[in-house]
Amino acid sequence: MNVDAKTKNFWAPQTLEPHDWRLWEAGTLRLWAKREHHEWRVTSSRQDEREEVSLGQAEAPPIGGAWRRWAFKAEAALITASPAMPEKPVVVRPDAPLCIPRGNEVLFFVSIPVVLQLHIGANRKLLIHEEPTMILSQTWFGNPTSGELAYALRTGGSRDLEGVKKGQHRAICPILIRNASEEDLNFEKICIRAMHVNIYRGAKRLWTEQIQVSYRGEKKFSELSIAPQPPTYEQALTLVGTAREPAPKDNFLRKSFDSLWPA
Amino acid sequence: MIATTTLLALAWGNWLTPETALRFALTLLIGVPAIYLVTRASSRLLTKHVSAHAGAVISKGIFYAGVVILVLTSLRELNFDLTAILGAAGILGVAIGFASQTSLSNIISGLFLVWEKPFEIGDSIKINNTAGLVFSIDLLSIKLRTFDNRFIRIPHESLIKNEVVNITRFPIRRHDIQIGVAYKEDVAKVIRVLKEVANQNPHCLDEPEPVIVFQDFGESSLNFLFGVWFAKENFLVLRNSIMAEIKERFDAEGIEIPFPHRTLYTGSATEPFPIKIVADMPPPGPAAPQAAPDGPPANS
Repeated sequence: MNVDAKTKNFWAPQTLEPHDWRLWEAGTLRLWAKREHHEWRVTSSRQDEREEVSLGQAEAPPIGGAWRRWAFKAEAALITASPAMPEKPVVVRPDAPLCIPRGNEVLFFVSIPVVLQLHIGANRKLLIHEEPTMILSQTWFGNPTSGELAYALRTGGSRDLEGVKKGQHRAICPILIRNASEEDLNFEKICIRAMHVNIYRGAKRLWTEQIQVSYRGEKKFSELSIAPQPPTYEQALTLVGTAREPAPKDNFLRKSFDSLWPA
Repeated sequence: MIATTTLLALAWGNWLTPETALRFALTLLIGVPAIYLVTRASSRLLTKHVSAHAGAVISKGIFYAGVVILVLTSLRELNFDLTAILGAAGILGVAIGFASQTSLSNIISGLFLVWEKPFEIGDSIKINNTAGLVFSIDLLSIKLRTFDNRFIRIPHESLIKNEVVNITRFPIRRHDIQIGVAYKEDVAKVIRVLKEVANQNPHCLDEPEPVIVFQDFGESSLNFLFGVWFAKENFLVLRNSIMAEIKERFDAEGIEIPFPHRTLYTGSATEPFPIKIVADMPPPGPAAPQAAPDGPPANS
């Protein structure tokens, strides 16, 4: 099975008979789902990070694992795994503080580990479970009294696609940073509002729409906008995960940059 | 009951006429539900616009003001002379004021707390040695539910007079851990290992960075302060996991956490206590009976 067919199958709906089960492996996550009569059971464990995702019955569910159960009135045979972006913003710290002179714009690619969701029924009708494919550490973005909780990505973004961290459990998020202010933009961290983007499956990778961040000055919030179309780095992208929070139709303002050194 | 009936019989026809009785009854019939509705509506309106604490105090103020107005209106409908009643109420008020200084102090303290807003319903606070969740804020006191599920009433006056710590006011907190390591350990290695422990715990925040301070040379150990930041809702899980991980990593890295050492000496001018190590000592067996130095043999 080639890479495309393998990832396509991973995110495709699965029909299971009673007492049948499947194992989804992505990142460090191993997620088992087992169908019983009028019931689904899910359990999980962790392993070392793997770049490829896999679906099958490579290993039976752990005996005595912590199962979570969902009971239904009617039989539900269809289960679908789908990727979702983390529910909190993601803070990316470049390898070194970065300066973008006024009037310039720079494109970055950030590789964000997705959350694996399990849906029951046709058209992903009912979300029963979700678990991150990688356990990300948390961080605080902003000042200690009025900032916000976010996930920290220790592997910074890259300016070229070859430099981003690989993995079929990661979605590549293109970020276009535009310095629209009258001053140079110096920053150590950028906060990405990943909950507003959809996820698309390409032949090799998962993708999100491009996020454009316009820096308007140190004292002002940045202006954010989400591209209306999926990126064009791969052809024939298929929508596999919808945004947790649809982005506002117009541009919206959020604090996006943090710096410990003066601008 | 008999006295009330007698009083009504005497009053009937004098100042209590069918007309006044009807007006009195109507006042109560309209007034009681009106107070209830106004208090409820104001409570709902206030919860949207002001804090729960301020809402509770203002709602209760509206309720008691409504009751006073209803009582006075009802008495007027019964043809009582309110001037005399209000005069008497003034004297009575002074008497009651003296008798209820504590209650009034609590009410006024409650108003100051509304103004200051040091906490809200649902916050975790600590006053003296009492900590718990703010369960309700009333006219005279607040009610706490402690973490072991006890109910504690604290008068507003105590809150004004004492230091109140709001544990959950800010979204993130720092958990400080005092760690002692043996004198033989490499300080740089200890700091590196602690940083790694913080990095690997998903509940420790990357930013603000963990605080690691080499504090002092203790009696038996080098003392460090290890402060990790966390989201306030993760307190228990962080506390349990980080302590276990420190112990695990220190064991893996061979870093000794010493117990207190004591060295006994008998003064600077004396020799140390003589200690003799005896090899090949026979195992301890049942003690043979021995005679006293100057006494008769044991078996004699």
